[in-house]
Amino acid sequence: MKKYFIRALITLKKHFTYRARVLIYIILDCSLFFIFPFLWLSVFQDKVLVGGYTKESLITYYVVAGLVTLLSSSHIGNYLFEDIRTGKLSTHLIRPVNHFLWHFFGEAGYRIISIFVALPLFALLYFLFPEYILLPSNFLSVVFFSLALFLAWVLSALFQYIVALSTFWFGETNFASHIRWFLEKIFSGELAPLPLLPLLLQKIATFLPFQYLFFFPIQIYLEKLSLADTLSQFGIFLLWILFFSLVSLLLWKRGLKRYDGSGI
Amino acid sequence: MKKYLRIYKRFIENAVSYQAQYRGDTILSFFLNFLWIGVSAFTIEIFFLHTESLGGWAKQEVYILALFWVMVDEIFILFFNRNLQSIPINVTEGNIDLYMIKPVNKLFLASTQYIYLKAIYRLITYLILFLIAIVHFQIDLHFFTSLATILFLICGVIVTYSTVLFLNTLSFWFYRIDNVNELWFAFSDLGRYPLDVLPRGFRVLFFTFIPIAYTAYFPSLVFFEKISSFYLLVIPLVTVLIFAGSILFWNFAIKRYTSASS
Repeated sequence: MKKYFIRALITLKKHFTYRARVLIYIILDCSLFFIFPFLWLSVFQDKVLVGGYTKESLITYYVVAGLVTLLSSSHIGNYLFEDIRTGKLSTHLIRPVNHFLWHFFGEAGYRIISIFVALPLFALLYFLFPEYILLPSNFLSVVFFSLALFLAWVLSALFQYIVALSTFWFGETNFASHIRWFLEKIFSGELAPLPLLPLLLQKIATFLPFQYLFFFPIQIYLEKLSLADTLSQFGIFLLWILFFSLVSLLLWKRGLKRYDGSGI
Repeated sequence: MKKYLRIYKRFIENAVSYQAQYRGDTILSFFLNFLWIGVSAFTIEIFFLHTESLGGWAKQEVYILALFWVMVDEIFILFFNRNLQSIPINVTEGNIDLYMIKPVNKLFLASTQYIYLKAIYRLITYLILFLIAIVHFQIDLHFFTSLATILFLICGVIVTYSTVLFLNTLSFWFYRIDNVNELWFAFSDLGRYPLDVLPRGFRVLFFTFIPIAYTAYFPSLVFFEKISSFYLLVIPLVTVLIFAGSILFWNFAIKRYTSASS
């Protein structure tokens, strides 16, 4: 594992070299969540509840969604795509490292910087708008939320990786990436909490893994799940991660047979 | 003028010839665009499942606002986006030299060389969707309002062009700023929603220093006759000022250019 931690440390140093660029990427990641709280505030007007959410819990939902984006949304797909497309993957194949873990830990540097930006930003928002931002009432929720964030990052990275592996067959990932993006937007709870969706989409979302990227961690933060529900959901979450790990392993092995190292 | 038209005709020919090599990619891009439209429509529908009005805007008004935004954005992508985004790399690589030695306006070359033809298909899709929205929501079109809306949409393209030019011109001082474009588009994306939902401070910011309101918000206000005649005069005037400011800034910056590794 030592080599992966060194990899994380190197990328952390690299990101510190380009601080302004990293800051811009962080702002980009959060920008979507800027306007949504205001739009929902306009929806509330005289209402007390919208889809089972109070004004405060819905605003908190989007603030925490910003945190989830910063801390859990992976972007490793582009690296694998470029590795295969340019033939650079060959240099990885002769190294004694797991390719997924190499890029996963490579992204850890960005995550570490994100933590140092996200937490003070969250504290500032809480300080400025304490009436709109709810905090978890017990420490266990914070522990579960942190664990859910980490697992969401793993799942997000696996989605990115599996989509990028399609480069072995198609030479590009445009179509697969867009489909992934579309499904994640609709069913993850990124755009809106799932109970605010039409009933049919809510039902579909419960059978899909995308809710674990946003909706599940935020539900834990908002303490909307009982302990039993939280634990059982974590069980399903881990099963999804296991399933997609196996899929990525299978695709990686099959894909490598098609790879000739010449670049596409 | 004739010279510039001749040059632009050549740029169009180049774009057509380039595009012809990637027909499959163009078709794919066209269909993938529907996913993007789907997500936008989904977002609007979610809000209107729970309300009749968003910041004082009815559903049909929000749809038209979103369509105006994508239309202005697509026109900008079609004609200018790739060109302006290339400015930082051209400055750092010293490629502005190529503009210097040609007997043509440098900004003209920096702004128009590449035409992204794929955007035409998407633009046509948006126009069709716009007509469908007009019929579906039974919106009455008035001649003068429509004319003023087109003028304001042109203002939207000009303000977008001016802002992106201004941001990329900063590369004459700060070399690695390529992701500043992504930052602009992230902010600009907020213009797809009714800005009336924002507190006054943010609205002032988006009307002035980060001028995202010009892309679709103002044209939509005109289209739905929600704007006073005072603003009908002021907004085109401000557009001209923003445009002139960005041109002056470019002219100032180009004098600072010292070729490779400028």
